[in-house]
Amino acid sequence: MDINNSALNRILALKFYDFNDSSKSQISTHVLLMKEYLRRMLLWKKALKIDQWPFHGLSKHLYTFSPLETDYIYQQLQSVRFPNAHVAASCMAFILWSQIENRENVQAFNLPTPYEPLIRMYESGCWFSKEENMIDLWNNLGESENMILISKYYDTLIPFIDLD
Amino acid sequence: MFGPIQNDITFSDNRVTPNGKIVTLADIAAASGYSVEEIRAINPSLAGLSINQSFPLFNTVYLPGNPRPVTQLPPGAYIPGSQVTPPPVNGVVPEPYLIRTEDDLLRWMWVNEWGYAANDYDKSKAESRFKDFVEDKVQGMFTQLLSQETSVLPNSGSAEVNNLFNQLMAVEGQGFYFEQLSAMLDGLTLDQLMALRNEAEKAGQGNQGNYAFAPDEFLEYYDAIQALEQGEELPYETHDDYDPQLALHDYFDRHFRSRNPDDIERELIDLALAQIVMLHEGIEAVTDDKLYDAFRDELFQRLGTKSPTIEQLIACLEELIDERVADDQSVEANYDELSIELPHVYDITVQYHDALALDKLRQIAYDPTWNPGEETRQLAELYVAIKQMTRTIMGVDVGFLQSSLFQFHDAVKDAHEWRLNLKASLDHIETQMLERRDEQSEPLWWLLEIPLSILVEPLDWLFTMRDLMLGDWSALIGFLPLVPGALRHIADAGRYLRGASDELVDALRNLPRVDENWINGVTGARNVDDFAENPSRDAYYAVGYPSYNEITNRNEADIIAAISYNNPDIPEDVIKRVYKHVFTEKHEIYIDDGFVTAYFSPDPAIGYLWLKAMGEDELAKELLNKGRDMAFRLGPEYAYMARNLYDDVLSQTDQLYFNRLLSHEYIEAELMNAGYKYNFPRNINAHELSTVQDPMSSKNPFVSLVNNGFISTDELDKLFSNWLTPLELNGVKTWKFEFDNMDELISIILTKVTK
Repeated sequence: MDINNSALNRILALKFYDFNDSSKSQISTHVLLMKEYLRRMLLWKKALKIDQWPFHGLSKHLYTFSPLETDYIYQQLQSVRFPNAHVAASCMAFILWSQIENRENVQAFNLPTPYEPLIRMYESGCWFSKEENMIDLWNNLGESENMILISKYYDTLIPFIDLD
Repeated sequence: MFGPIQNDITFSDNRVTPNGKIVTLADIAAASGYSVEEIRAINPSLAGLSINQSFPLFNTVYLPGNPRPVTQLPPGAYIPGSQVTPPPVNGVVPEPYLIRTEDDLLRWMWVNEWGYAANDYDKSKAESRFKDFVEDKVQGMFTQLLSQETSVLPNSGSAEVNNLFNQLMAVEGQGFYFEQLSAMLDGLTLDQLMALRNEAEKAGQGNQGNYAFAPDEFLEYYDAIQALEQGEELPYETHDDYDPQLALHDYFDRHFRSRNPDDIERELIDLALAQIVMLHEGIEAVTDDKLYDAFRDELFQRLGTKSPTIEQLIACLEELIDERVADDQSVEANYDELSIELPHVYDITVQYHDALALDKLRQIAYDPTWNPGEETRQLAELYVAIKQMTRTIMGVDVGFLQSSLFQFHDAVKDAHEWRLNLKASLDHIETQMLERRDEQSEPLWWLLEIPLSILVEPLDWLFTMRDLMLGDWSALIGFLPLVPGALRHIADAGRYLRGASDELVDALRNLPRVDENWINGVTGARNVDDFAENPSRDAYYAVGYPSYNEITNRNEADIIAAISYNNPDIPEDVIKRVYKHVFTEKHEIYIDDGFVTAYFSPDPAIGYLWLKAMGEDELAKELLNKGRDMAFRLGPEYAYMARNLYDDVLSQTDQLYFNRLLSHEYIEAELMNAGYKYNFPRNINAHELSTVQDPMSSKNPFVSLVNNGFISTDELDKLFSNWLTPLELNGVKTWKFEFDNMDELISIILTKVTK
C-alpha cells in the first residue's frame, strides 16, 4: 500500500503546548469536537461489533497493515512531541484510517469518518488526557474541561457539531 | 414433564409458535399430563375457553413424573430447592411460593435479610428497617436517573408524587447531592417512597430493559420442551470425537513438525540461544553443539530436572532471555536494528499459550456433560416461575423482586447463548484444525475466528453467576430469597455453571495473552482478582500491569521512604495518602453499567512516574518495556502508543508531572474521603474538583475552580502566590509545587462547594 501523506502531514503540523498562541478555539468548541468524536466512535463500535470504545484503532478490524507500512509511519512521526501516549495513539489511528477509508469495505458502512473531530480538536490547540473513564481536555489557552466516558451520553444520530 | 404455567398468558384458540405449531388447551393438557377437564377444574376461569376468546391459564401446575417433595414454608424460613415438593393443585399459587401478608414479609426479612432470631421479632423495628431498605432502593434509582443526561419525567403518578419526583430530580448541581437526596427521602412515608420507586422504574425503563412478558419467547421454550418430551433431536449438534488437546497438538504439528518432546525441546533451546546471541552481539547467531550443551545444562540446572515439561521449559527460557537482555547495555540498540528479523522465542511461546487457551475454551464448548436442551428446559421453568410471582403484597408494590429475577434470568440465558455461540465459532476452527490443509501463519488465527465479544462478554456474568451459585444470593439480587420457589428453579437453571464454576472461571481467567482480555484480569498482576473489574475496559491499561505489579508487591514503608529521600520537599503524608489512593484502595467509580467498586486501572504513565520517583529509573523503563510487549500485540496504534510512553525529551519534565500527579491525586483522595464520589455527579465530583493545570501552561494550577465559580481569582492567587513564583526546570518555565498549603485548598473546596 502506498502511504497517503495528507493525513500524515496534518499530524506533523500539530503544535501542542503552544501556550503563546491565543488565536485558537475556546474550550466549549473543543468539548463539542470531543463529543462528536465519541459519538462517531460509538457508531463504528456498533457497526463493527467491537468491545473497545472510544480510544483505540479501528482499522485492524478492516485491514491488516504490514510492519513495513506501520514502521514507515512510526519513523515519519518521530519529530512530533505528543502530550501523552493516548494522543499519540489516536494520531497513529487517524493516519492508518486515512489509508483505508476509501476502500470499498469501509465505504460500505456509510458512516462518518471517525477521527476527524479529534484531529480538528488537536488542530485547534486542544488535547486530552485520560484517568480511568474521565477525559480531561486541555487547550493552548490554558482552559480545561472534564468529561465522563458514559456511552449513553453520546449515543445519538444527531451530530454535536457540523464539521462540513 | 412440564413446569408451572405462567398465570396470565392469554391464548386465543389458534396460537402459532415460532416453529409453526398450534398451541391449544388440548396441547397444554397433553404436555401437562392433566386432562382438559382437570385443567378447567384447576382454574375455573378456563372453563370459559372458546374459539377467539382469551383466557387466563392456571396459576401453577406440577406434572406427574417429576415429583418434588413439598413442605409448608414456615414464616421466616425458606426451603432448600431439593426439599421443595409439588404444591397441592388448588388453583392458587401455593403457600411456599408466596409471602401473603406484610407481616409475613417483615418476618421473613427479619430473619433472612437482617439476620435476627425469629423469636425476637419486633414489628415496629422491622417496619423501620423495611422503610430504610426501600429508601436505599429509591436513592439508588434516583442516582441512576440523575446520571442520565436526558431529562426524565414521571408519567402517571399523582400530583403529589410528581411533585416529589421533580424535587428529587432537581437536586443535581446544588451542592452535596447525596446528603440532600438522603435528607429528602428521610422525611417521606413508606407509601410515598413506594410510589416514587414505581415512577422511577417507569422513568428509567428505557435503560433498564423491558421486562414485559414476551409470549414468543415463552412459545420458543414451549417448543423446546415439547421436543425434549417427545424425544426429538434438538437442533444442537453433538461432538463425538473430542480430543481435549487438539489445539496443542495442532500447535506442535505446525511449529515443530513433531509432537516428540525431544524435538520440541531442541528447537526451543536453539531459538532461545539464537535470540540471546543476536541481542548480545548484534550478529546472526551461529550456534554449535558445545554452546548448545552448555546452555541446556544451565537450563536444566535452573529447572532442577533434566526432563522438563514443555511448559516448564518455555517459562524458564523466557526468564533466561529476560535476564540476559536486561544485563546487556547494547541490547536495546541491537534490538532496534534486528527486531524484524529476530527469531523470537516469545512469538513461539505466545502461540503455545494461545493453544492452551483454545483448548480450555474447547473444554467449555465440548463438555460432554453439557446438555443444551436440558438447559433450555430449565430456562423455561425459570422464566415461568418468575413470571408467576406476585408484584404486590398487601397493596405494597414489590414488583422490583420480579424485575431483579428477570435480570437474573437474562443473565442465565446470556450464559446459555454464549456457550452455544462459542461452540458455533469453535466448530469452524475445529474443522480447520482437523483438516489442517492450508497453512495459517497468523499467530492468533483462531482468535480472529471467534468474535471478540464471545471472549470478553462472559466475564461479567460469569463472576456474578459464580458468586450466586456459591450461595451469595441475597447480596446480588436483593430480595431474591423472598421467593423460595424461584430459588429452586434458579439453582436448577444455573446448575451447569455451579457444577463447573471453578473450572469455567479459571479457564476464562487464564486465557493467556488474548488481546483485550488482558484488561479483564488475566495478566500477572499482583493478584489477578484485584484488577478483574478493570472499570475502564481500556486495553491501554494492560500496559500498566507490570509496573503496578512491582509497586504493589513492594513494602509500603520502603516506597514512601525512597520517594521522600528523592523528593525532600514533598511531605511524607502526601506521598503516603497518594500511594494508598492510587495503588491499594478500591473506589466507587461510575461507569456505563452504574457504579462499580474497583481499584484504579493500572495507568502505565503513573507506574512509570512512580518508580522513577523511587529512584528506580531503569526498572521503570524495563517494566514499561514489558507492558510495551503487550501493547505491540494489540495493534499498530497501541504499539505507537507504547513507543510514546516515554522518551528522552519528555523525561526531562517527569519531575513536574510527578508533582502534578501527587497534587491532583492527593486532593482527589481527600475529597473522596470527605464523601465526594470519584466521578459523579458532573462538576462536583472529586476528579473534576482536583483538576491541576498543565505545569507548563503558566496558568494558576487550580484555575478551573475559578472557572467553575468556586473561588475568586484573587483568593486563588493569594493562596498560591508561592506556587506562582517563576521557576525554570530543565529549560521549561513552570510553577513551583508547594505541597504544604494543599490542605488549605481542600478545606476551601469543601466549604465553598458544599454550600
